[in-house]
Amino acid sequence: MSGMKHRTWRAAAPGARLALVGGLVGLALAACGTSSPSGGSPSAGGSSTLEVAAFSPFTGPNAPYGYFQYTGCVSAVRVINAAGGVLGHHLTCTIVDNRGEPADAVPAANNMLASSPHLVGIVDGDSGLMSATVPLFNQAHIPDLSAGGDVQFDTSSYPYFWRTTPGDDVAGYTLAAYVKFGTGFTRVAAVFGNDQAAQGNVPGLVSGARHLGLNIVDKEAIALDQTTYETEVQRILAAHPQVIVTESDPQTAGVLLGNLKQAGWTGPIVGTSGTLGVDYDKAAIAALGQAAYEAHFVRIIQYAQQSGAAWQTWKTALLASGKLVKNPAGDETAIYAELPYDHTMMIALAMLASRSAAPATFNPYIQKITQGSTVVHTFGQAKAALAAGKTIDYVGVTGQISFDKYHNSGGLWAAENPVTNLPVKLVSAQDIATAEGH
Amino acid sequence: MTLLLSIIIFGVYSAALLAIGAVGFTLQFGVTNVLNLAFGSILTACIFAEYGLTGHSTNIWIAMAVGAASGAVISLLVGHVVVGAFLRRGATGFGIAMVTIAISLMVQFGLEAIQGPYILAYAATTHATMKIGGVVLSSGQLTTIIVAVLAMVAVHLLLRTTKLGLAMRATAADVSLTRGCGVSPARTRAVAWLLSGALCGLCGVLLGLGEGSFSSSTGSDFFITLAAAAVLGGIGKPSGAMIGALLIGIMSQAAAAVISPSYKTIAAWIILIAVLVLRPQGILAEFAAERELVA
Repeated sequence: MSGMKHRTWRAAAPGARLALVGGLVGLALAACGTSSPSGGSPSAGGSSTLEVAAFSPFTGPNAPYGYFQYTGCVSAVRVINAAGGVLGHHLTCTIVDNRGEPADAVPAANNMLASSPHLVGIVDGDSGLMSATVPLFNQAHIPDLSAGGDVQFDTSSYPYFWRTTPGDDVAGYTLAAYVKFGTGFTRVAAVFGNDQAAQGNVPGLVSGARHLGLNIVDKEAIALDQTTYETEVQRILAAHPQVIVTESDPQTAGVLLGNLKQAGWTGPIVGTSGTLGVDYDKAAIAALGQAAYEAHFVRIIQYAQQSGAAWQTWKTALLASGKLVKNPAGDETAIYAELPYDHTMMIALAMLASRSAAPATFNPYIQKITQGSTVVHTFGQAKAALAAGKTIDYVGVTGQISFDKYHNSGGLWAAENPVTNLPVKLVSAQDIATAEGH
Repeated sequence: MTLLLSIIIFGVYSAALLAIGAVGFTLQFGVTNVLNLAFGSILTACIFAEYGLTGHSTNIWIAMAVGAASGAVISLLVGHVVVGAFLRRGATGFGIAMVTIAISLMVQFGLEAIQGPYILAYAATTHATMKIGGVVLSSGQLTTIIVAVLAMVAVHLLLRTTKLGLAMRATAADVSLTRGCGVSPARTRAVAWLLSGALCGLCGVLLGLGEGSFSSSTGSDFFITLAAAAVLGGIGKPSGAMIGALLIGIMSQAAAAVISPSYKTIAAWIILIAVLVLRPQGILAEFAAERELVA
């Protein structure tokens, strides 16, 4: 070490000292300006724009779901801001791309929480990411209104987690209920992609089939994105099913459905809510042709209203959002766009009801605004009722919301035409309960 | 019996797609010594090019011609111009591999930026079919198998019976020796990039038409299995790639039929590991001194 001189503070060049001090001052100012979402939340009466994050995949194979989230959020924000905003604040909807993988979602969540001082709520819907990201949102005390179906959250203990769509296991029971009471068939082939989201439907389907006396003659967990599924199709058809129940990503579905057609399958195919989306329709139509797709395929999905004050407001806002959304006309009846619309509304109404934009304060009001005495369907109605001192029960586009002690709320279900998204047949709560063994 | 026939027939179909791509990949590596990790993205770009240039045509013959031509041009640009520039500056091995990864990502995300995250789909077509013992094969699948066989025969004949093929094999074996014999290594490598690209484009359009839809990640997803086939057969050995593709194609279908469809992809990797444990050089490659990438 001879020859090396260690400079002391006094001996350091003046320029270096100045740079160091300047850097420390800058860091201190930055720390003051960046408040953690839980400790330094925006307060009522300020003029800053409040942020609702659409935390979803916007790239990768699940990107269509991200755009559904954004579509709903943007449309709601339009309505809210047009009515004067919330407590003097305007709202904005921001895109946070989690790319649909936990390895990407966790850094994206952490970055969002660290760099968004005016974040007041999150809307999301990716089942496969919830176990990784919901704890982070709760730790940051940011309300997360989710459309994801991860069954672990059927008994959630996270106070900042809210879900208005049932878990994938209920979706599975609903599939069984539709097959039993909607088709009358008893021999079922279950063909699901081997990803977590698709497989989440299987336990409920299997259990529901058992309760209803259905026979699952073949069960396949297919590898995604293969060049052919002919061998799998041979296994399926060898079991002589009367109906095929399925979920997979669009490209997998395109190949699978094409191979089914090639092998001569002309029976009904029942898809889950995971088959909703322009990409799935494109791939399925390429495989089957539109006429055959509409004739043989139904999608079991949470039912949303297609008339009434709530829907009209939603539709107007959606169509007025123009370039901000991908497919405004096509999303009028898309449940995955309607859910985040209602979620964003609920965040705004909870702030109004609690008279606070601090997430820790308004979070409990997310449930209270669905339990009041005055039923409201639009933001304008709700704002007027709250201003008059009333308690509200927000019944939005997706219908009555009723949270249980785990912050979960179920809904109506329907078998829908895959292209028009119009209901072909409703699946009653009674039938679903029978499938669940109640 | 039907299931066994299905394994064989659709194993051969899967192998056909893999073989076209794997031969292109391994041929290019064998001659140029460049590990082209952008091969999958080039494959995707060829599907996009064909889709756009032909107005979404589902005519397989037009698609193959346009796909092969697109692949040849793109591959030559990537290999001879871009990668070649780095080579002339003295970049080697790991550095070149990183360059090709960068190209791959730029192509994939560039396509996504232009097209958006949505898939593209061909119009539904009803193919003529033929039944073989209870198994239904479409005309498109049969054409793919025939085209793959013809392409493999053509590549084999090119390498074994033509001066160009001799030059390519010589360049792959010993560059300095070929120079001494009056063969231009640069020209030979350029032809290798062209030929590899043509096979890449051919594979891409057959894959896209076969699946009916595609996205900016289609080729990248397929590349992993394709590369496995090339490594299995012995990297740098086109005939080895053909055997590797056949092995992976059939065994994947067998795993799906006998065990579970979930094991389809796993089966391919188990085969690869098992063969490499017994023969680290691959099925056909000679065991020689360690070959330095881009010496």
